[in-house]
Parts: sequence; C-alpha cells; structure tokens
Amino acid sequence: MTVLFQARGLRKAFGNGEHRRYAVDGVDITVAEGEALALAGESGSGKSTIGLIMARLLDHDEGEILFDGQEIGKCSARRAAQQPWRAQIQMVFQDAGGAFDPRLSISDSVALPLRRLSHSRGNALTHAVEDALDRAGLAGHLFRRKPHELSGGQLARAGIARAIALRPRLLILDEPTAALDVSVQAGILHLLNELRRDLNMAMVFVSHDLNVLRVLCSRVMVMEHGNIVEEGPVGRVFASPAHPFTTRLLAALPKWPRSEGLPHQLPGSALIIHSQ
Amino acid sequence: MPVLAPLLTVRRLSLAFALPQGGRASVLDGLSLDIAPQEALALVGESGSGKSVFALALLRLLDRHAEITDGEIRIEGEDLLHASDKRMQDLRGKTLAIIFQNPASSLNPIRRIGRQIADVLLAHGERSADAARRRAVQMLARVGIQDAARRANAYPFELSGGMKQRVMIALALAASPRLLIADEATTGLDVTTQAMVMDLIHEQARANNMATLLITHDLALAAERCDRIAVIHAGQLVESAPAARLLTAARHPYTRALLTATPHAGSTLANLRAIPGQAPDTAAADLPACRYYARCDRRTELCKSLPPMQTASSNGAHVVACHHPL
Ligand SMILES: Nc1ncnc2c1ncn2[C@@H]1O[C@H](COP(=O)(O)OP(=O)(O)OP(=O)(O)O)[C@@H](O)[C@H]1O
Ligand code: SF4
Ligand SMILES: [Mg+2]
Repeated sequence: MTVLFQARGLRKAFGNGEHRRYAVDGVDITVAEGEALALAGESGSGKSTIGLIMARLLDHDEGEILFDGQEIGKCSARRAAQQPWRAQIQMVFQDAGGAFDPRLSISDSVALPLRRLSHSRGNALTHAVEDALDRAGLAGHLFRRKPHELSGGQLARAGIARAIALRPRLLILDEPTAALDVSVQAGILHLLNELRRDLNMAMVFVSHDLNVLRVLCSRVMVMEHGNIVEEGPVGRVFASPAHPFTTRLLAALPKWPRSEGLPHQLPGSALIIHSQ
Repeated sequence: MPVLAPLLTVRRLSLAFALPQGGRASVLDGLSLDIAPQEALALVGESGSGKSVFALALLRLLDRHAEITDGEIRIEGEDLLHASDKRMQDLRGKTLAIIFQNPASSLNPIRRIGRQIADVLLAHGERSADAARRRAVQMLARVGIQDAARRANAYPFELSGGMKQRVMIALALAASPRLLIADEATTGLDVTTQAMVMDLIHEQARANNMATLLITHDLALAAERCDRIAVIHAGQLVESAPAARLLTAARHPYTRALLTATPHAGSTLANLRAIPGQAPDTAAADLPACRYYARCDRRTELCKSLPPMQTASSNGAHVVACHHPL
C-alpha cells in the first residue's frame, strides 16, 4: 500500500467566545493510492468539514497534512488555488447544479479549471473536456447545453466530469448522489467505481447513507461530534460494529426483508406473505 | 385478513396541468387506490412521478392550472371532488392532514408554535382559547417535545430540524384526522432522527386509529414502516402489494428495476443496476399506453397501444398493471 494522503491531529473550530466549538477535534486520516474510503456520520458530525479541509478548500486550525509526502497544510486555502498540487486533489459536491455557472455551457464549465490549472489550450483542451464528459457518461448532444437544461442525474455526471478532467489522484465526494433517484444513483456509483479502477484515483466518500458507502468503499471511518469513533474494513464494521454509535447508526437503517426461501414469481397466485 | 370498508377510495383518477407555453401535461393517469382504516400505505416512485400531486389532489390543494379530467375520490364514502370549498376546509385537518418534507415552509415563521397548534384546535370546534392553549402544550409533549410548556412559546427558527418535524406532526394531528399523509416527511433527516420521527408517526397512528399514507422514494423505509406499498411511474400506478411481498416477489418490470437499483444491506455493486432511460414527458402527444414502454425490456407492440389493466391476484392483495408481468 502506497500512502497518498495523510493528515494528523486535525482540529477545526467554528464560532467564537462561549459558542466556540470544535467541528473536527483531533482527527488522523490516511488514504492509500487508488483506495475508496468512506467517511460516515450524521449531520453536524464534522464529516463535511473534514472533506473541505482534505481538499484544502477550508483552513484548519491545527494539524499537518501531507500529500504524496509533501506538506500541503501550511499555505492558506486561498493560496492553495495557485499550488502545483491543486489539480491533483478535487472535490465534488451534492448540489452539482449550484456549482455550475448558469451562463456557461457544460463543456465551457468543464474547460475552465483545465485552462487555469493545467494550462491546456486548443485541441488538447477540447479533447480533455470531451474525454472527461464521455467518461462521466454524459451523452454528446448535452455537452453544449446550459446547466438548467440538464436533469439532476446529468448534472451530477457533469460535476464529476469537471472534477476528473484534471486527472486528480484524490477525489473527495460529499454526498454526490444524495439528491438523485436510486434509478440514477446506481449508474453514478458504477461510474465512480470504474473511474477509481481505471485511473487509479483514490476517493473519499462523505455520506450519511451507509448503504451507498457499503457497496462502494473498502474501508470506513465513522464520525461523531468531530471525532473518529470507529475505523476498519467496511465488511467488518458493518457486520460487527465495535462502537455503540456505529451500532446505533446501523440499527436505525430500515431493514430489507430477506428474500431467501420466499416463493418467487407466482402469477395469479393467492399466496400472500405477511409482513410481520 | 378482515375486509374493512376502505377509508379512502380513489378510482381512475386522471389529472392534467395546463402548461404556460400551451399544451397539457397528463400528470396522473387512471390511478386507482384504496386505503383501509388504520392501514399504513406507502406510495413509492421516482422524482416527478406524481406522488405530491396525488397528495395535493386528495386535499384539493392544487392550483388552478390543475384539472381533474376523470375519476373520483371518496373518503368515508363522501365525494371529495364535488364537496364545497367550505366543506373541504372542514375536512382538511379533521379528516385528512398532511406533513410536508420541509417543515419550515408549512410553519408560520412569525407565530409561536403553541399558538399555531391552538389555531388549528380553535378552527375545528374548540371554543375556549385557554383550553386550546393547554391542549396545544399537551400535544407538544405527546410528540416528544421536552419542556413543552416553555417550548410552546418558541418560534420555529428556535427549533432544530427534527424538532420542527415533531411540531409539524403535532400540528397535523391536532384535529385527530382519519388519514395522515406524510410527504417525504423524513427525507434529508439523519437515519436516527428519521427512525425517531417514523416511530412517532407510527405510535400516533396507532393511538388515534389513524390510517397513514407515506410518500417516499425510499423502498426500504416503505417496507419497514408500511403494511402495503404502491408503486407509481410517470403518473400511472403500476403495482401494489403487501410490503414484504412487493420487495421479494415483485411482478411489474418497473418495480423489479427499482429494486435492483436500490442499495441495501445485501447489495454489492455488481448486483446494483441503474434503470435505463427516463420517464417520458407527460406533455408529449405520442405517450405510449404503458408509460414504462421506452424503458422496458419486456415490451411488445401491445403495450404501446393498449393501457394495461390493473389485475389482482385472487384475493385482491397483489395488484399489477402490465401486459407481460414477471
Ligand atoms: N403546479 C404545477 N404546474 C405544472 N406542473 C406541475 C405542477 N406541480 C407539479 N407539476 C408536475 O407534475 C409532475 C409530478 O410532480 P410531483 O411533484 O407530484 O412529483 P413527485 O413524485 O412528488 O416528485 P418528488 O419525488 O421529486 O417530490 C412533475 O412532472 C411536475 O413537474
Ligand atoms: S405493459 Fe408492456 S411496456 Fe409496460 S411494463 Fe408491462 S411489459 Fe413493459
Ligand atoms: Mg414530491
């Protein structure tokens, strides 16, 4: 395992005076190359704040951040935009539509960060944009459309296209499918998994949806009140959680009836299986 | 199962919106559905399938662009579509009540929450303002608001999301309705808060002999919380069955597709599949008779021209509308 990203002793407080509270309170995170890591927790647990700090879009108060062995936590988030590693760490948000300029076509929006961060121009730029949109599974006739002319699922794909166009080595996704129907979500989950596999992109999924994290990730970190309370392989943690908070999260998930042993496909049959 | 006279009967309900650019969108198409007294029914479907429009039609809360083109709605035998506006006002709250996804939009931001509940009680027959206020505090306590007497004086913005959802429930329950509609009432809430709110709805329904219509796009939630699940696609009701049966022995191709797209405890990425295509534009002139036609892998020419009938299994519990069911 090659370590790609490492953060130690991260702390971040919001508010001031007596209202000052730590949203992230002493967190260590390691991400290996090409790994899919889940960051699970409820709203207010600090998971989105960690995502923003990892992407260097938000300044932390304490702790060190290493990317590819290099300290990247010292410069401010504002100055991070000019750093050479900027293109290598990208973030995708839940509200893909809000992240697009309503006046620009989708392909122009995808081109923007490429122009700024990778300095590509002309044919190379066009090619990179189209390749990213293609990989994200957006149909060609949609490239020139404005954001409001796309469906929620198409916009989510466009948001992913813009992030992967830069070929980042670390992609941080905050609830990337929370606003989507399951019919569309499944496609996006497959897409992300393929991108990770084909481009060896490490991904951090921030979500409160344990069922989505379960199918996508190999390792999970569970957050409560700014702390990591449990960490381990997804299979192990979900099957036998060690921390009471993880147990509570899993217990609150709606149960799915097991289909084993139940008769299938009985056209016109009067047989009824009672739910209780 | 004892056969009770249904509380709510919906027959062949069709509804269209006049579009500003001309033309009409046929948003509900021949929808038939019953809810028995005290039954918990889930209505499940993708975004835009017509779930909220259906709920609003039951309450007759749709705007003037909506036209009911066919069908009937009866609650306790009473014809809702021909009831006077005055009568509808009585029925709302007292017979049918609704909780929306976004509590902020349905709570009055500048009125104390205790007052808002007292208002409902006063509108539905309570005479004394004092008694209404006292009962409002009791209702808040009943939905699990701690220190209810003090909290009754709070404004909505002073409450957390989960707490506002509780106030919404108290408000909806104030006049003891026969049918409580919860439209995505827990969507966006944390799983633990969601479980709490659902427990509360369930408890209250049982204590008040109330039926519930749970509108959601979450099949697992529907299965865990409801007796029966009805599935809607592009305004057409495609299947309904007892909850566990719908999840384990679905017969409509769309229900099956929805199930294979939903991640749950037993899923792996490999057995998770997206549903190809999209629901059709309901304003299109050439809508196929079965609106799942373009996305369906079992379609034949018949499906395009002849609307599939709702067919029930011999005891009526499992209903499917498809020419070639699984
Ligand atoms: N006032 C209106 N005028 C015109 N069309 C409308 C109006 N309200 C809803 N619609 C249309 O009716 C269809 C059904 O909408 P509805 O809100 O019932 O969907 P839904 O199933 O509740 O979706 P969601 O899961 O996103 O809440 C949609 O195509 C919507 O655009
Ligand atoms: S009626 Fe035909 S098109 Fe519609 S779901 Fe059944 S098989 Fe598919
Ligand atoms: Mg709705």
